[in-house]
Parts: sequence; structure tokens; C-alpha cells
Amino acid sequence: MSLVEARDLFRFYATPQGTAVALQGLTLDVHAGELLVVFGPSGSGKSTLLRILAGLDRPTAGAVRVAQHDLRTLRGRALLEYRSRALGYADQHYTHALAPELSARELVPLRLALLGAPRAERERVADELLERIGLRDRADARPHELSGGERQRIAVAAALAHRPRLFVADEPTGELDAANARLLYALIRELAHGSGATTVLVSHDPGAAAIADRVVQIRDGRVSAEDGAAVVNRGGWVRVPGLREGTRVRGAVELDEVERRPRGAPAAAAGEVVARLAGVAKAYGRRRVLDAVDLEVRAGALTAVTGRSGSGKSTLLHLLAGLDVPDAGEVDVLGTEVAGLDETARARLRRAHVGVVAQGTELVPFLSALETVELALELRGRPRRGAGAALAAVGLAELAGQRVARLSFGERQRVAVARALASRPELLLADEPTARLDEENARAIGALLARLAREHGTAVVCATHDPALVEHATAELSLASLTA
Amino acid sequence: MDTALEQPRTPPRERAAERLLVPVRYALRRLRLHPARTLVAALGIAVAAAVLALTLVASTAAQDRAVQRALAQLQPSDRAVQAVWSGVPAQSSLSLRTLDRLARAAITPVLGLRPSRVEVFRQATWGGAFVNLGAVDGLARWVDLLGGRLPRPCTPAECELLQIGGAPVQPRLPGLRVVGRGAFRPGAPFGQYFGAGGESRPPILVANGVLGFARVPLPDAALIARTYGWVAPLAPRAVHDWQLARLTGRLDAAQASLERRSDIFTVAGPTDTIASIRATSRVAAQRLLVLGGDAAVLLLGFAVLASARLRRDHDDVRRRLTWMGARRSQLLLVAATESALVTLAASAVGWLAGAGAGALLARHLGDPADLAVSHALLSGRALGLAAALAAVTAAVMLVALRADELAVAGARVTAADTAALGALAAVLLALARGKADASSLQQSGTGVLLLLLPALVLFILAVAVARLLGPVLRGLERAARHAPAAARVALLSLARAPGEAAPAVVFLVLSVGIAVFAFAYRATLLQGERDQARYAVPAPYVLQEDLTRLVTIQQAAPRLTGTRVLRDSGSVSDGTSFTLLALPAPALPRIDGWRSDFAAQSRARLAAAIAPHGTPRLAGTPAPRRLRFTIAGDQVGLSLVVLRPRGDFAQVDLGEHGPGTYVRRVGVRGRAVALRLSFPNTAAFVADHKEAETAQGVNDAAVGTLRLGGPFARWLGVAGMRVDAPGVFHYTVNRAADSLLQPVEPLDGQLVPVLATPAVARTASAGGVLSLRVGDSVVAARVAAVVHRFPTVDGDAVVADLPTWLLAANTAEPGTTTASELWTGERPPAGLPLQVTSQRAQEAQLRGDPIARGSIALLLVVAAVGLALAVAGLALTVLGDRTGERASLRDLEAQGATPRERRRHLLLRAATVGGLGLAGGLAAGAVVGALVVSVVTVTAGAQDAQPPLLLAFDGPLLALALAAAAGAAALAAWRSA
Repeated sequence: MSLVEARDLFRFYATPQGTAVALQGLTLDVHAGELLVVFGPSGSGKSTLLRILAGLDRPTAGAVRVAQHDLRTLRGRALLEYRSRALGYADQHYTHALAPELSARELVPLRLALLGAPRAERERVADELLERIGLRDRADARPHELSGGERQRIAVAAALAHRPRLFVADEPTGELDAANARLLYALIRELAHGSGATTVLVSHDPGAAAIADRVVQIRDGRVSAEDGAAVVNRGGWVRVPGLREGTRVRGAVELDEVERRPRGAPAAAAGEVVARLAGVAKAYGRRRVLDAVDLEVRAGALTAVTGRSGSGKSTLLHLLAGLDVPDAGEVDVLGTEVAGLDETARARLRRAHVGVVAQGTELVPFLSALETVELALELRGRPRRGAGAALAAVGLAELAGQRVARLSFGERQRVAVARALASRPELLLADEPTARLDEENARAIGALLARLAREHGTAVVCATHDPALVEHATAELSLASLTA
Repeated sequence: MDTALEQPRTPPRERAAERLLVPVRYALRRLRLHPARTLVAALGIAVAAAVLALTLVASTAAQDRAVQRALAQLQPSDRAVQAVWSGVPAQSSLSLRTLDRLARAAITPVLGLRPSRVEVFRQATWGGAFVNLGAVDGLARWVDLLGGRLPRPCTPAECELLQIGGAPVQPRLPGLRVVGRGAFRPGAPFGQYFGAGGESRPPILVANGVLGFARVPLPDAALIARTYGWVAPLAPRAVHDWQLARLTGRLDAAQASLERRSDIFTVAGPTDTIASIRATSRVAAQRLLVLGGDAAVLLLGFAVLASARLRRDHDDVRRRLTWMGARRSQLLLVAATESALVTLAASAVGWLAGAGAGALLARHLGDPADLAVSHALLSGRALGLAAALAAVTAAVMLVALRADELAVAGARVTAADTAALGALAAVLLALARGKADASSLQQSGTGVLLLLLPALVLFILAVAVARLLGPVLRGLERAARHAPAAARVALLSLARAPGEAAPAVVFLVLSVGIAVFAFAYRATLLQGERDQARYAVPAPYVLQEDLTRLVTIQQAAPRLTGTRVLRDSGSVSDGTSFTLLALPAPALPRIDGWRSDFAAQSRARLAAAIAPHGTPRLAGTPAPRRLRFTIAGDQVGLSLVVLRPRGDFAQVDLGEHGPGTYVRRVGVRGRAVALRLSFPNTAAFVADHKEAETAQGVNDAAVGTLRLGGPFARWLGVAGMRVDAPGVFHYTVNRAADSLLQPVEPLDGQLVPVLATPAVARTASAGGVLSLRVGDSVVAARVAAVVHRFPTVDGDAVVADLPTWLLAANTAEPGTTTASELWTGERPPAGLPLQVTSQRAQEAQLRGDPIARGSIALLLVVAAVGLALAVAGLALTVLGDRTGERASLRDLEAQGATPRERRRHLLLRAATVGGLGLAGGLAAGAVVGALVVSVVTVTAGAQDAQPPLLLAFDGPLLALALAAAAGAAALAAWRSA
């Protein structure tokens, strides 16, 4: 018996740039107690589907029922009842879900508390669940005192504490390393099956398939494959009047765009050391992140820095970028000792020679994709005309005029990569540049960065745990081994 | 063992109370863990609440000081509370002891003081001495001894007396003996009983003790009228403004209780003064609504701004709890708890701070700080107001926190738009209904509504600014397309999210607008005080005839130079009354108190319009030392009107004469301008008597011929006189009017050019001709120009050239009209028998008025607070931007933007917001200022403004204050960035 029945779901969004479509006739059934994993490229409509199932959004057209609730017409108190009792929700940004003021022991049973459960019952449930997720000893810790993996476990436990009929999880391992991701998948399966909840888990991580009872693929707002078999006739194949063709093209990275660009002379000869860390140590408070790290980054090489979450990958990139300074040791970038520079000089060095793709995809939200790239070029004193080509290179030509705040996380990440490509830095530092991309796009980005290194002599350093990117690396440095 | 997840799915046990308590506990936890997050918001609310509290305390203190000042200006006996019984004991059924018991019982509760008894026999002869004889209880308390000793308590056998004033006397009556001389102390409240005493008045003999004095065997005492009084002195500082209503009630109760026993009893107290003060106090309190409304706007504006800054955080809370399945009511409860606690705590702190500041201000005004604060802030009404305001503020914060989006553009009509349209309609309606003057402000209704206008107008402007902000920012962004990247990015960030900047810009418009308005209104009131002083006293000194002494200006101050002015009252044909002011036309451009808005023309042109051609003067002939005349006919009275060289007239009585030739001494130097013939007094008396005693009318007239020689032979007769031949005048004179002989005057048949106010001018016929009735004479005039008002005149006015008017008036009625005032720059000698008014003293009096001082000080405080809050608002904006723009700043930092460039981004945003806020604030302040000044026609001292207030800007002070605020804002923004 199906707990979730979605029929011909459409969801359009009106934007100043035109109508954007997220779902185009998606049809899907999920059986009671089933654990369904949904894969799909960024912008394919996965998150929109989950928001509709969670009652946070409504379809523009089509029908959707969850446990006999018609979510298209559910309103007011009934909707609240559905969300508070029948639904459990876990987001990829666990920081969004966890109130920073509450302890783990208060967060886990928060749904029960909001339902009015007595304190004793809440504490009993909290203690049991904390025991199950292995965090009983961290019961009094608040979110900022927990690691990313621990926080996501708390978030999952909190989503299931009230024993919902439907549990939906949106890329719950998106910000976790592979080891933590595996741990979380196992926990989700255990808790979901234990509570009898029907689970819909959206991910781009192939590892999620390991816990799935069933896997479906979504592309362009429709189910395109199920358990590996293509689905071609499950609704939605209709033309939508008034929709501009290609308005939200989720194109793959177009490598030819890069090749068409004129090649600049390499800033440094291949193999030459562009950046060097010697005996670098860094601590935040009492927590030592890096200790006696040595590293040489060479021109023309794509160096993958790997390691578990919290192993200091991002810190290492920050030190190379001059966004932070080491407690001990030397950081040399293009012959300049970074630690000896003040903040302004480090910023100027960064502007002149370093490209940064930050992990959080924090871009200036009010700029369009094109303006974002143009601003970077202008800051570096370079002509703006290369901006469009760079966006085309990452498959975002059609979205150049869209404000970045309205782009999906994956698209934002590609804008950041395009910006780095356009500015032709001697040292490109990318922090998890494929974290929110589907495998195909991730591989393309990896290839693009590798080609940038190879053909332009750019020294590329990527902090990543994505095998799709690591496979393009010419060198892999495990921070765990460096800090051991 | 099954864990919670493995157990059968059953609904959790639910408790409604728990559902409510969880959000409340969560809100409390948030406040405890992040106090700094709400600190700035709380500070702003506290400051605005402090302004309100300060307004209340200052208002109370100022009104209280006004009451005490008014009471202090009364004579001690006028402000005392007293029961008075005047009568003849033999005609009364009540003994003195009964009267005493009744009066004490009635008077004691009024002030809580036992009254002092007083008895007086006014101006009677006792034992050969013409004196005011009486007695006072506890005499030593009320007198200063000048000689001899104080009387012992009076007994029937021996009653010693103290003499106050007058030549030494000693009544020759057994038992009465004057033993000393003294004087009443300044605070003694017996002026109504004994008078002031003095050398020219009967001396006062006063005994020590009323009951003892009443038993002294004075001859025929029981048959002689006397006055008993029971007097409770009222010290000016013993009664406070808030006690006046109760005091009036007690006086009424005392009067009613005494009237029930004897209708001869009267209870006296400063009731008229109290009523007048209460009316003024009410006006002052109502006027403070202007500031109260502004403070409330500031408070609510800051609440919205602070909420806008907290919204991002609350959005996170809402999102988190929504994902956790929270109901809407629970989300609301979190926000409501936080808003309520922040507002309540901030309001309480602000109320306390305002009380402290108010105490200082009260002390500055000379009022007891503790009483003013406790009465202003601890009354049920004040506490209710504070609670209501805190509740409204919390509600506004809550709405601002929960509002999905602050709409600043687009065609959608929001609730704010609707409210603004409603406010606009209310403003237009209020403006149509009239102005708020002192009388309308004493009642609720239009006046109060008008006073709330600033708040309404500010609200309308706030909505308009929010509406216009989007297009303005987009325009700025387009204009800056070719600007450096930093400026472009800053403007882009504002233009593409105007909703984020709107609360800050609107708040700055409000706070700067209120500050500008407060500065302007303060400058206007101060200028108004100067204008009022100069309008009322248009020269450094104004000397007027003292009507109690009847000494003319010309007699009292013949050597003082200045502008001589005639003031009189008159009316025109439709009954419109006016004040006549005649002064030399050349002096008109020099008088103080004139403002250009009084007339369309300049003063020089006005002066030219009424200036005479040549030098008008009465014709006539030098007064002869002796006047010879011959009468043939009935007896008639004669008097010669002589214009003295100093400008006034002498009426030389030549006596009543029958047939015969007479020579009479004139004895006055000057020009003889008329000879007046009147019906003989004796005949007039007999005729009056006949008419009074019988039903007959009397038509007696004196008829005859008067012969005059010399220059008088060419004079003409008026009213009952006929020239039979040169020097031969036939007269017919009765009781109705005198007859006149006078020379041909130069203005005979000509119109006097005058300036007239519009109401008077409207009554003129074609050519502007008017008949002006002034006194007993009618003068034909021509309106030469219209003036809206004229210094010293409250109401309609007619202004003429003095010599021209004197000539015209004395032609119509010789010897009756002369200058009655002198406007001079010379300091007059002391002791002149005239009323002397000093312009400087007038201004000092206006400035010293406690209500005026309180209002002026409050406006300065409001202005300072408005600017301080503007600075705080800008700092809050920068702080908020630092958080809100975090993503942008991090990205810019990653792209190599230097700290200076990142800071510049924030500062450019702040500068744009601040610049728009400043420009809007200046405009808003000017609009509100102009509106208030034009509508609320009340002075700093809560009186009707005469002349009307004129909007003034203290340019240097305003520029200095705005520069200081801009500097502080720049510093705060720099440090916050």
C-alpha cells in the first residue's frame, strides 16, 4: 500500500527573469515502510519534491497524497497537524534545523515538546535515542559544541523522535565526509525501519543507494529512472504553454567553452612550487586543527587535499589564501611569506594571484551570475568580457542573468568555479567544489579543473572527499596522514 | 527492551499547558543566552520611553511651578482661604462662639490648617479717634514691632492695642490703650480687613485675640456692623497643581456648609486664579501631546527598526521550529514572549531613566522633584499609559517581526498604505475644522486632534518614504552605473533589496524629522516670546496713564522724549469694534514689534499712506489772560478750552452767568481752541428733580446772545449756536448737549487717512470711506491701507497719524482727545504716577514662565534624543548590515577585497541610508514644523499667540546639531563597520 502518491506534479516559480520550472509532471509512489532514495542532478527538482511532501510548498498542478492527506488542498490546522505529527524532516543544513540555544537532550525531543508531551516522557525518549545514536555522553552539549556528523545524527533523531509516518531527508550527508556519511546512512536505516516510518531520502551521493529499498532518478523535474531502468512514459511529457524553453537549463559543464578561450601564458612553469607550507600549526581555542603540516603546491598540478570532516582541510586552504594565519610555521605563496603580511596585504595578494571557491557557496546574493563573475574580474583589473564565456564553460550561460540568491546550491557552486576560471589565478583554491553536484557534473568540474591546471599552469588545490574529483587529481594529500 | 521507536505508534500524551510553556521557555533561553542581540533595540525603546516619561514629569513640574508662581503673585489676603461674616450682632441669631465653631469646622479641612480669627470695625470713631479698630488671634505672628511693645492678650477689662500706620492716636475709652507701633508682615493675610494702612488713611488699632476683644464693652458695639474673619493663609508652595481640583471642591463644600447656617457667611479663596491656572495648565498639557506624539512615533519607529534587524534571526527560529512541527501559535508565542520581555524591560528602564531626567528638569524649574516625579509617573493614569505604551510597542515589534515582507514598492496596497490614507483623511479633516488655540485646547476634541497631527503626518511621511524608497534607490543605482565598483555594489545591494533598507531610512526620516521639528518649534517659540514682548511693548518703555491716578502723560512726564501715542476704542457702523491707535506717521517705521507679515506693504509705505500734508494743528487763538464777554438772555455756563504747549488741554471754567458784561481771568497759557456753553448746573439739577419726582418731562433751555470781541469774533458756532453777526452769537443750550464756539479748523470736511484691519476695512463704502465712532465723536476716515494686525492691539485696529487724528477728533469734540501713551527708549525716572512697562521685563516675564521654560527645555531634549536615536539607528543599521551582508563580505574578502574596501562597502550603504534619511528628515521636520506652527496657535507659555507664531529655524544651532549628529553617526558607523 502506498503511503505517498504523487501524480503529474508540476511546480513553476515566477521570477523577474521569467517563469522557472522545478517539477514537470513527476509521478511517484512510495510504499508504507519503504526507504526510497532519490537521485538527480542539481536543479532537477529533488528538493522541491521534498518541500511539497513536507507541506512547505504546494504543487502548481497535479495531485499528491501522503497517508490519505491531500497535500494540494491541506490548509490551516490540518496542515499543521500533518507537519507536526505525520512528518519528520531532516535537511542537509543541520545548522538550520538545530536551535543553537538548546542542548542535545532538548533538541531530540523538541517535536514531542511542541506537541505538549510531558517532560518525563520527553526525557525518556531523548535518553533512549541519544543512546541509539551514540551520543548519550554528549546529552548536555549544544550544537556548536558538536561535530558536523554528531549534529546531523541529532537532527535525524530529532526528526524521528515523535515517530512520524513519513520521514524525508534532503541530502543529509551533503556536508559530511564519507565516513560520517556512511555512519549516518546506517543510522537513518536503523531508526527509520525501527520506527516504521516511510522514508524518502534525496541525495546525489551514490553511497546512499546502499540503504535504499528502492532508488529513483529525477531529471528535469520528472522521474527518469527507477532502480537503474529508464522511465520514459510516467507522465509529465507535455508542453507547458508560456514556458520559455531552456529558461532553467541544467546543462552539464561544457568543456569546449574553456578550450575556445584564448590561452594565457602560464604564470609559472609546470612543476614550479607556487605555494609552500612548512611546519604549519593552527588551533582554534584548545582544538588543534593542523600540526606541523608541510606541503608544496606546484604549478600545473591539481592537488586533492582529503581527510575526514574536521581534519583541517578548509583551514589549510584558508591559510594558503591568506584568509587566516598560522600559529606556527611558514606559509609561502609565490615567494611571499603570508604570515608576515597584514590583512590588507594578504587581501591584495589574494586578489592578484589567488582564486578562491569557498565551501559555503557564499556569493554576493543580490548580484546576477554574470555580475558576480564580472565583479571578480573588475576587482582584479581585468576586462569583464570573459565573464560570459566562463559561465558558459560551467553550463550556466542560460542562467547568467539570474540572481545567485535564486540559484540552487549546485548552480551557485558552478558560478563560483566559473568566477575562479575567469580570473585565471596562479593559485586556485577550491573547498569541496563538487559537494552539491551530481556525479556527472562533479566529474565534469573535476576534468575542467584538471585541464585548467594542465593547460594554463595553474596550481589547483581542492579540499574534497568526492571520489569524482579525486580521480582527476595529480596528487592527493591526506591531512589525516599529515597530522598523524 | 523496546525503545521508544519500536513501541507501537500511539499518540503521545499531550498537555495544553506544556504546548504553551515550551515556546515561552525557549524564548527565555534565547534572551538569556543572547542578551546583546536585543540590547540595542532595548536601548532605543528605553530612550524613547524615557522621553515620554520626561515629558510627563516636565509637564507636571512646569504646570506646578506655574500654579505656585500665579499664587505667589497674589496678595496674601487674596490667596488665603477664609470665611467672612459681616453684619450687626444685634440682628443675628448666631453668637460669636457659634459663628466661630461653624467657621472653624468649615475652613479647617480646606487646607488642613486651623484658621486665625480676625475682627474689624472699619473706619469708625472710637473715643474720639477715627480708626480701623479690630483684633487678630496670635498677633505676634503677623506683625513687626516698630516701637513700644506688643499688646498682651485682650481682656474685657484691659485691651491693649498696637497701632499700624497713621498719625499717633489714643482712643479715650476705658480699657483701650495703645502700647506700641508696628506693621503687618508681608505675608499677613489681613489686607482685605484693615487695608494697607498708611499716612493718608485712618490708622489701624489692633488687639491681640478676637474672643477677648469681642467681650470688651465698647459703646453701642452690638449695634455696629463689623466683620469677622477666619483666615487660613495659603503659602504658594503649599499647594500643587494636582491638588487644585480637590481644593476647589473643598472650598465649595465649605461655602455650602456655612450657607446652610447663615447666608451672611461667605467663603473666599483664590478660586478665580485657580480656575485660570487650571485652564492654562490644561492647555500646556494638551500642547505636550505634540511632543508626546512625537516621542511615541520615535518609540514605535525604533521598535520597527529594531524588529527589522532582528527579523533575520527570527526567520531562522521560525524555520527551525516549523521544521520541528511547531504550530503557528507557538511560533507567535516565541516572538511575542521575546518582544514583550524586551519591551517591558526596556520601557521600565526608560521610565526610570525618564523619571531621573525629569527630576533634574523639575529641579531646574524649581519644583520639588520627588513630588513631581511621583505624581507624574506613579499615578494610576501614568502607569496605565506606560503599560499601554509598552503593550503597543511590543505589538508593533511583534507585527514587524512576523510581517512576511516589508512592502516598499509595487502596486499592492498594504495595511500601512491603508492606514496612511486614513491618517491623511484625518489630517485633512482636522485642518478643515480649524486651529488649536488656547480656548479650544481647554476642551477635548478638535484642539487635541490637531495636536496629534505631527504624529499622523510623520506616519504618512514614513509610509510615503517607504513607498518612494525603491524607485529612488533604483535611480541612484542607475546613476552610479559608471561609478567605481565599491559604490556600484553598495548601491546595487540597496536597490535590489530596498525592503531591508526601508526600516532604517524611514526611522532616520522620523528621528531626524522629529529633531528638526523640535529645533524649529523651539526656535519658533523663542522667537515668539521675543515677538510677543515687542508686540505688547513696542518700545523699550511704554508709559500709560494710570487710571487710578488720572494724571496725563503730558503732566507726568513732560520732558521724556519718544513717540506719543493715542489709544482709544471705537466702533464702525456694523458694530465692529476696534482699537484706535494714533501715532506720528514718521514714527511708524521705527516701532518695535512689527513683522512683515502684518501687512502687504512696507512700514515706510504705510507711514506714507497716512502721513498728513503739512503740519496739522488746531486753529485757535492765543489764550488771553482775561476774557471779556457780554450775555443777553438766560443764564449759561461758559468754559474755555485751551491747548497747552505740552499737548494736553485745560478746561478753564469761566462760571455761569446771566445778562451782563463780564471779564474773567483765564490763567492758562496756550491756545484757546473752543468756548463751551453749557446749561446751568442748578437749572439742570432742578429739571432732573422734577422729572424724577413727577411724570412730567422738562424741556427747559437757556436762550440768549453772547458777544465776544477780538479774534473770537471770527469763530463759528456749533450745536445750538448761531452767528448773528461777527462777534454776536445766539445760543440755545439744554441739558442734552453743550454748544460750542470754535474757529474754522483745517480738516473740516476732509477724511482722515487710516490703516485698518480687514474686518474694519470691509465695512468701508466706495472709496474706502468709514465713519469711526470713537468716544462721543464721529470721525470720517478713509482706509489708506489694510494691515492684518498692529503692535499692542489684540483684535481689530485702526491706525492713524497722531496729529491728524488729534486735529480731527478735537475739531469734532474740542479738548477731549490727547495722547495717552509714550513709547520711549529712555528709562523713565522712578516714582512716575504712570503705568510703566518695560519691554525687557516683559520678555523676561515670558521667558521665566515655568510652562514656557518647561516646553522649551523639553523641545531641546526631544531634539537631542531624536538626533541621538538617529545616530543609534544608523549604528544599528551598520551592525545589522555587518550581519546581513556577511555572505557578501565573506565573498568579497575571498575575492581579495581589502578590509578597507569591505568596510567602505558597509559605510557606503550607511552613507546612502543616512543621506536619504537626513534629506527626508529635513523635509519632514520642515513640513511638520510648518503645520504645527500654522495650526497650534499657542505660545511657549500656553497662551494664545499674539502675534501669531511664525516658523523660525535657529540655523546655526540646527546646523551645529546636525553636524554633530552626522559626525557621531560617521564615527559610530566607522566603529560598527
